[in-house]
Amino acid sequence: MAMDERTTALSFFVERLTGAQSQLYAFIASLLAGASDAADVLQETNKALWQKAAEYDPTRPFLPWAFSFARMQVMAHRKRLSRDRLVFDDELIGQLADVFERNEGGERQLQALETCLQKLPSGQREVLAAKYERGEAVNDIAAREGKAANAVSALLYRVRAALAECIEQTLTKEVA
Amino acid sequence: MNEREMEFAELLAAVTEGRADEAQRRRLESLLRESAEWRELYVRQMRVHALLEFHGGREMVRSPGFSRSGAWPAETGTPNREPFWRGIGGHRRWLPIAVAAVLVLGTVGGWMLNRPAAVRAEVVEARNVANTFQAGSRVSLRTLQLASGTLRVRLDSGALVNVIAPAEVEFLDAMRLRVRRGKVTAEVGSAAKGFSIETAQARVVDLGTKFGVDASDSNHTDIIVFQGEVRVFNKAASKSDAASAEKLTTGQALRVDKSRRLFRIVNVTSGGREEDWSTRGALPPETIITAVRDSMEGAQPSLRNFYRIVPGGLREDARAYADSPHEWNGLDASGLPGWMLGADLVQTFNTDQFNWFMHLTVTVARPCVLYVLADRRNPPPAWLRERFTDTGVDIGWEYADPAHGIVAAKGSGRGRTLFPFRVWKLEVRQPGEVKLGPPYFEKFKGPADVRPNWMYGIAAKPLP
Repeated sequence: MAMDERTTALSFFVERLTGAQSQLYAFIASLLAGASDAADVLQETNKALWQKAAEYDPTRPFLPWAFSFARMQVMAHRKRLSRDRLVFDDELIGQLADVFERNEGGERQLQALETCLQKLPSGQREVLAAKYERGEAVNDIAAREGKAANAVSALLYRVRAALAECIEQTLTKEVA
Repeated sequence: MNEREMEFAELLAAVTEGRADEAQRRRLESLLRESAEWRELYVRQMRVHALLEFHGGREMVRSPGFSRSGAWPAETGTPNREPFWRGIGGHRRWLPIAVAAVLVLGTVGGWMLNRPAAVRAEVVEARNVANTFQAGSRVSLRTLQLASGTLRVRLDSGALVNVIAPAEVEFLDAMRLRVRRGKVTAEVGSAAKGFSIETAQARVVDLGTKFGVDASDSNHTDIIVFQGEVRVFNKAASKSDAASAEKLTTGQALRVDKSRRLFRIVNVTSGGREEDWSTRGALPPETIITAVRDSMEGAQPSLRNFYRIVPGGLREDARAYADSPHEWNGLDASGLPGWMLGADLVQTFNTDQFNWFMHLTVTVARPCVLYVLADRRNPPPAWLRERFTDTGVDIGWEYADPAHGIVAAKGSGRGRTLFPFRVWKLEVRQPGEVKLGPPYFEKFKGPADVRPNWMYGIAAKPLP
């Protein structure tokens, strides 16, 4: 390959990898069942992907290829962990990864999420901001809002379900 | 929600809130094993949960660079935990965080693809900068808001980045900047090939070069290549659409406006240093030559070359052209003639070297002597012979191709191989426009007729 083409291919690879960060993070965080090491495993995955950049075929979708690396890194991470830390076993990781890959949704999910967040009632947006931007504990949010903690948890559950629905619709509309 | 889904929701809450105990984790695991339906629901919930974390910037708090770094330097105050989409338009500042190089992927040349990472850099120079940056100190950058002055840093990728205020720059990683406002010049060595700068309108990918991006005006982005080659991508086009890319090489410049239309930038002006460039005609008050334009735009719409105006720029080893590395020098040890030193200089470009029909219009702001430095191998073009006076003085054009006959350098080691160019002059009594003709002396019939010729140079000194 000429130097030009190689540089261009490289910049496309970097584009893809950068664009896939939120999806890779979501994939890893799901397989780790909310364990706090998702950012570390993402970093390891980036490193592994980068080392194999030359093998990436730009005519094929990037995400499934990247997920296979993330999956291996999650499994490697699981082996490094002590027994008392929660991580699903390899079989369950495989099953969940399959679900994830079947509904991967592409690189535009983060943009779709932003669109969907705008459509939420302000009260719900505020609860999301408290938890996901400011990192407040559910107990604290509940105390401030004068609600039971499990009511706030249930609200978060419902809002996430609504967002999932909205993201799917937004992405489907884009394709149509 | 039925009872089992409520149980599932509670287990999920325990997991996402980080308070799940062993029994809850086992229970969740067994539910997930039980049916594909739970697994679908779980992935659906966890995906949105993780996207929200990523979006909200919460994951950066846990990222290794932050959690293992220890103390924050006193001047930084609290860590920046703003979500990135809010931070873009909001409060920004330097974040010289004491981040150990945990996030640096050492084996892959410092690429940092995880958005929360800060970029390590060394301060090379800080001039009139309000922030307390000291040359030689190591800093970690995420966003830079520069109200005044000039800051020069070397990123760990090797790229040397010069930022001129007022500016707002995000350091996405050691190979990627986002310029929201301001003027940035990047000098990119071979190690940092692929370095890119993006603005609202364009993404510029470097292919080993020195280039500048001006996003001071939110309506357009100006891209200037001083050396090497870059590729400019339309930000609105599909990112993998190579056809949307435009290649710029040494001495070329391009303006991308809000509607992604492309325009030639005809003049780039200079201050004392190469980084002090401008595409808006910013020049010191005593400047003589304020603009240069040519008649080639209609004839050659894809022309991207610019004329560079360097006030007081004529000295030994001054760059002769915007698009190639030749230099002006004295022909012998005495150097350039004293009456020429410090003249305003226009770096023309060599694309025009065989052109026999174009003309140039030079705008002078005060009475002056206008000099044209012309290749001596060919007869002078008629316009030059008729309107200008031959001074009888030659100066040296450095790095001549030996095939074209050389005057060996006699100077103080300044020149390697020199080639004589004749100095012609014209006294201009009134400020205004002066028309210059084509560089080639005659219309040629075909390529076989063409004799070697180089584009002329232009200089000006005030009338005594």
